[in-house]
Amino acid sequence: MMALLHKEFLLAWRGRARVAASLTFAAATLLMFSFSAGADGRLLQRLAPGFLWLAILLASTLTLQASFDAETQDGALDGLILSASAASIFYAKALTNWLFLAALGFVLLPLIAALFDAQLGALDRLMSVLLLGTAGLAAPGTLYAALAGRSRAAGLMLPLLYFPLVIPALVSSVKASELAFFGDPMNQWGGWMSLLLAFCLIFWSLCGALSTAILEDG
Amino acid sequence: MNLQPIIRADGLCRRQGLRWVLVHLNFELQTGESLLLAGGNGAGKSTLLRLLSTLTPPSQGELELFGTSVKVNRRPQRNRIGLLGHTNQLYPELTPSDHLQLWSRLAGMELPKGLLDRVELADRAHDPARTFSAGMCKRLALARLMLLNPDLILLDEPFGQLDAQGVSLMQEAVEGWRDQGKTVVLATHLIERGKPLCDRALLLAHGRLKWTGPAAELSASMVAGADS
Repeated sequence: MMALLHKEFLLAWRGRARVAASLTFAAATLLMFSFSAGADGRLLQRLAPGFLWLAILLASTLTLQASFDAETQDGALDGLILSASAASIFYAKALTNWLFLAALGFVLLPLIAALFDAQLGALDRLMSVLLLGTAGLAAPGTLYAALAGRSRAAGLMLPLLYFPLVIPALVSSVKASELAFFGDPMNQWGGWMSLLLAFCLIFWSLCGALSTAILEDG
Repeated sequence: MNLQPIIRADGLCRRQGLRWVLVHLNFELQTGESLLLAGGNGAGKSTLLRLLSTLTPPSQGELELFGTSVKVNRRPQRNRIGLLGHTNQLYPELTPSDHLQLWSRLAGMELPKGLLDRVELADRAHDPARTFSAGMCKRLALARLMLLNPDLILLDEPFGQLDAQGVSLMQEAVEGWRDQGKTVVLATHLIERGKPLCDRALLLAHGRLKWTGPAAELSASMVAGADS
């Protein structure tokens, strides 16, 4: 597992131009969203949590797809499957994607504050939501990236499969972020985080169990 | 020589979509034997190698490797198999040095010194594989097999894309494995190159076994005739 993780980080570092492209894409998406919402400061603030998560979701498709492009370009996945279990290959990739998406979320926070005039409020809570919410995107996203990577239209397939599945995690992340941004007078934040945690546990265990069927030939 | 079958195929079939690409293959290969897989394009050589590597399961029939069916846990078998397929199984962004470290760590073994020298890539050890020619990539893939030194070595068109020096490097490697008592399955349409390296041959046409016998008796006309 450590060797696989090391390989994933090495691939991310050597392909850092792609990482920069995902970051630029997410920032450009936020900029477009802020223009489309108009000049109403209050509306912009209210929309900030939703737009933050949409930017992360859209940028994640680039990251997730790139993570399997490296495996399919020269058949590297075949060699890997002969050397390691499909589950360990999946978890190493999902973990790397999770760390990248969480880091992307942290980088976007100051941009959200600047573009949407949003007070970052309870930063510790916001970071917790980002960690858990991106975990909820990374596991199913990685699995579907593997599945889409076997198709000729990987770029088209991934959002079609991935977006509907992560709606529960996305809604919980947006709600928990809103409470972290604007305050939580009714103490609802813990409930949304518990729901998000439940989605993460289900996704990470289910996707791990399905990884052999997806990564190996049928 | 220990005559324990390392490969036993019994009624082996593989279907891709609606088409049967391998039909009812029966053969055995003993430990230490080397087998030449011959046949024209689309004969089923690469599919058979993927089945033997356990990367693709049989659609019907039985395949036993090292005395165990591939339908049960394949991990112990996979630890003893090396495949050099149509692709080189490389990461374009990683260097030969990165690749060797990855493969040795995955196999839980120490990285021997001088491996890149043996495949004549030592001077490019820190260049990404995307800057390599196809032949250099194949040499790096060969270094993987040299490192892992598996018991069953599967080679799909091993001489393709290699220059004369690369071809002799590959031939030396196969001869070395045979001397060590390893089992080698070599699929190629260049049968004159493959024959001296193999004990037996298996001729496929349209997924069916057409002929099997000593490799030395296989001729180009038999391969051409099998296709028609």
